[in-house]
Amino acid sequence: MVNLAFGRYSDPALLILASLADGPKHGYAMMEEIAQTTGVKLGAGTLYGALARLEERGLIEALEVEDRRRPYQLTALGRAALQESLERLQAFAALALKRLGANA
Amino acid sequence: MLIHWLIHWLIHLYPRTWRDRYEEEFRAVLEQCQPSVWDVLDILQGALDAQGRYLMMHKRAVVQTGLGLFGGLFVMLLAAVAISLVQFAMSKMGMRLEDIAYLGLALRSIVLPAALLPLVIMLHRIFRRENPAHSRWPMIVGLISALTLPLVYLMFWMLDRLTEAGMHHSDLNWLVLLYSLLTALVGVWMLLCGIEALANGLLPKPLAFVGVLGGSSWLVVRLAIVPYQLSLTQWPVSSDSRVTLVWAILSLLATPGVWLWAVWAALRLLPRRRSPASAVQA
Repeated sequence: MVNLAFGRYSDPALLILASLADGPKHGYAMMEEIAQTTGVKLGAGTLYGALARLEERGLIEALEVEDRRRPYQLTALGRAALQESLERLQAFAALALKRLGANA
Repeated sequence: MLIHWLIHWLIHLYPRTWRDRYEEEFRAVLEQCQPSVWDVLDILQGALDAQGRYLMMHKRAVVQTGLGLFGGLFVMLLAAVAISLVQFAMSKMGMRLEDIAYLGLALRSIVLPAALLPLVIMLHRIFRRENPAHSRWPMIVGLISALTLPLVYLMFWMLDRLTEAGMHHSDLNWLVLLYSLLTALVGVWMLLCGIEALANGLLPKPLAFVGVLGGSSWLVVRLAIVPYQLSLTQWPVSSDSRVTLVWAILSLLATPGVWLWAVWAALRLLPRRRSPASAVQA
């Protein structure tokens, strides 16, 4: 089981992994995509704090720099970690909704 | 405009290893954003987080810093006790109290940087040319400046003795100027140490800023006090409460700079180990 426990960077890390699931992106593209899809606005400091942790754990990898911008992509380990985290979230969401339904 | 300027300098708070890896792309991202005050705070917290992670990952550097600081404190304590014993013995031998006081100051100034070992190592490294040329000259300046401290107190003592002997203050102006230049040199090395530490990320940035602040303050006050000293009709100046206050503030700011130099010297002389993972460490 891959641990995405990064303290205050756990949520940003998950958002970044999800953002990279459909292909490589550079930092600004990740920020924009996350803001559009989730409404969460990541600051550059938070973004790169999470990127550094993810890269260190081997969940993402950096690609060649293009015009001062460096894209990142998921590794196989990162893809597995994202899958596992989302499945756990899905199970939790299903349980919570079931409880809500039971108490309605 | 102010926010962009602020962000530009806040990025310097990140550790050197982080900046080597991420700075270019980080700046590229910031150029595409419209940063606000919240972004400034976000970058500040990112820098503090990165510094904390750097220290956690480089425990050896933390231990070295701690050893440098506390080792220096321990040496200072030992030296203070030893010097006090010497002064006590001298007072029993009948020496003048003023002379004993100056001797104590001169002796303390020798061990004040608490860098006896780094001084020896520094000399060895300088003359063995093991340091790159660009880092050698700050060490040489630092070494010369540290060695001028005993000279400063010697000159202070001479000024007092000459005044007591009846020499007019205006005749001593050249000595006052020389004394001021020497103390200004001390401020220069503090400033250089702080700048070098900032540029190379060898020390946590707050410590490096203290060195820069201490050195700058020392220089400014030393240069400002020269015309005041020259205008006085009597040496020493310590009887004036305003000067005493300025001197106290100067010492308060300069003392951390001296300790910074000791830690900087200790860290600078120890080999830096770069592992393959260091390129991605934050």
